[in-house]
Amino acid sequence: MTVDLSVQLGNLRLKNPMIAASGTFGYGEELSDYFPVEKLGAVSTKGLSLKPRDGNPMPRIIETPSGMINAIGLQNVGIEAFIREKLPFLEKRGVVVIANIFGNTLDEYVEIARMLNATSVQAVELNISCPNVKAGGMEFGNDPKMAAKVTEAVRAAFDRHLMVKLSPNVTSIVEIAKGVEGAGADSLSMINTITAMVINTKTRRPMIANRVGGLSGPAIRPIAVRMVAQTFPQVKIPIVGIGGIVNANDALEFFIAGAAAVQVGTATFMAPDACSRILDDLEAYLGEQGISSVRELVGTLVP
Amino acid sequence: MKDSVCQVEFHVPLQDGYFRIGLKTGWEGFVPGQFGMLEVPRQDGVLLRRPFSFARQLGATTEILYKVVGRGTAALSSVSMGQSLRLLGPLGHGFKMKEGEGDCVGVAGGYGIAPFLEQAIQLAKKGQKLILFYGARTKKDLLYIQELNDLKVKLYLTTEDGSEGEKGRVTEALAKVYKHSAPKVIWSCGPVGLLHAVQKWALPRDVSCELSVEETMGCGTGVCLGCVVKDTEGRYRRACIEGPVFPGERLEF
Ligand SMILES: Cc1cc2nc3c(=O)[nH]c(=O)nc-3n(C[C@H](O)[C@H](O)[C@H](O)COP(=O)(O)OP(=O)(O)OC[C@H]3O[C@@H](n4cnc5c(N)ncnc54)[C@H](O)[C@@H]3O)c2cc1C
Ligand SMILES: Cc1cc2nc3c(=O)[nH]c(=O)nc-3n(C[C@H](O)[C@H](O)[C@H](O)COP(=O)(O)O)c2cc1C
Ligand code: FES
Repeated sequence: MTVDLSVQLGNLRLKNPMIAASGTFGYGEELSDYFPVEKLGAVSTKGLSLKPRDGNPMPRIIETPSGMINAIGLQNVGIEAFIREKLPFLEKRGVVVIANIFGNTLDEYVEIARMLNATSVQAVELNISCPNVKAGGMEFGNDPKMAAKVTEAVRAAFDRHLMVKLSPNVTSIVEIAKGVEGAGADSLSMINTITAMVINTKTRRPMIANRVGGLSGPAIRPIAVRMVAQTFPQVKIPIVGIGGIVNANDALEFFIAGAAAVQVGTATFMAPDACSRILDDLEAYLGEQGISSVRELVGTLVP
Repeated sequence: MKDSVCQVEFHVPLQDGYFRIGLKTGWEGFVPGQFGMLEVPRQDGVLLRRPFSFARQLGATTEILYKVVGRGTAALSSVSMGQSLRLLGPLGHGFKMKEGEGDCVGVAGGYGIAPFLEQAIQLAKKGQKLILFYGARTKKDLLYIQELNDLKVKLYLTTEDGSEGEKGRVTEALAKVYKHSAPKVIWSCGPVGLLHAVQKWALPRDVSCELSVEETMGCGTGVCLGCVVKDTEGRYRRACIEGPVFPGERLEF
């Protein structure tokens, strides 16, 4: 049987629900030797800032049981170089581009969004897990009001699909989700990495130069699934599920919990063609089960 | 480079936690210094692949020399012949300096010996000779001695405890031998302290060196940004893509 893999995220139509997660797929070009990247529903770029960023000192990553911690420090080429040097490749290949952006001030977010509005980029993904320099370093994503404020400001600057990526490092992710929805987000992507630490017991120092980093991979999947399942009944906009997906069954958990699409991150480090392979397996599974569309599964968690 | 499923053709324990593993890659060869990301059994919470240099090409089989140091390499050591593992490679830039006139010198530390076996093989084919300064902690950490002797490599061995060769550091042996002359090129692979010492010796003497760095690697494909080293302009460079072998004068330790 033929399976209809297409999904509709509000005003954004994707040919399938597989999105490469930000920070794990470069700018799309790096992995194009391993599979045709245009096969994916979309690609979320490495987080982009107004000015290029060098990132953190080494060591930046460490493996943990069934996961990894990273503190890359958002190293990126900056929005101008992205538009000039990186975007043309993705455009030429017909990839649906989700530009993942972050700023240290509200104005920076708005400025980047405005620049992207003048390009062909179909969607912006707001990374709100960033410290707001003007508000004394408090993360935008930690407070429903601040999260709503940055969403509203970017909403006014970008006309197409606005996805807001939620941080799990909060007391109530549902409150943030509602605030962001009220401020005009078209979709929510969740979750970003979970703040974590590993200590070298000999030196008694953290194993990451930045001391703390973000945990990703299968270790965080049950937390991410729980957060999606909790948020789904409380919002009307679609949810993109992220966290520790390494096979088709993992993706199914997210669909059932309420995700309309998924992002795959750390799995791409384990195998460069992970997104492509998981998508194929998902299609095969749906076919075998006689499920004609992945949309039939969304939010079908038994109460 | 490509990602393929490779059968384990041989897996031989050597002394003291070192192993040689042969993977059927079907490659014609690789540039010494290039590496691969090898899948290891996902036991004990192991998630990521591990980076290893290639030691030599034997027909269709590519050999890796590794030491058990943690979870991943322990998991790898349990793999049996006939099993298959995914291997991504050959990755990165290997040693590319031409030997030209004069002495071709290698400086290796510990399992940093791996690329020099293939280097010696390739030089021998061209009728050239490798002069190799090879240092390790103890005698038990010196590998491939028989193979290197068979290839007529001129070996200067050092150990920190004096259990084999000269007692001391390998760069001290280098300085002693080249007190009044200088080699044409130096290739080096080993711990960062060794690379730094080679750089400090070579640059003021106008000896070109190529240094193979070892950094933690998440992906091997340039997308995680977890493997960077600083260059002399203060920019971070990805070891998996732009390295792991870098021109010595470009690295800032
Ligand atoms: C380009 C390149 C080429 C390489 N070539 C080779 C090669 O040819 N042969 C080879 O043997 N290796 C090589 N390596 C190194 C090899 O990749 C590593 O040894 C391997 O990845 C280690 O994996 P592991 O899981 O066994 O160790 P890990 O668990 O990753 O640990 C590594 C080290 O850190 C220590 N450690 C881990 N966690 C802690 C903690 N919480 N507190 C204190 N200490 C801790 C471990 O004891 C161990 O010594 C290469 C690396 C690179 C980048
Ligand atoms: C090395 C690395 C870099 C990342 N960089 C970004 C980033 O720049 N922006 C962002 O929003 N998320 C970033 N993330 C988070 C991922 O997009 C994703 O939310 C998270 O890793 C959980 O998914 P996973 O378990 O499938 O990896 C990064 C993750 C990793 C592992
Ligand atoms: S190992 Fe991931 S960028 Fe080099």
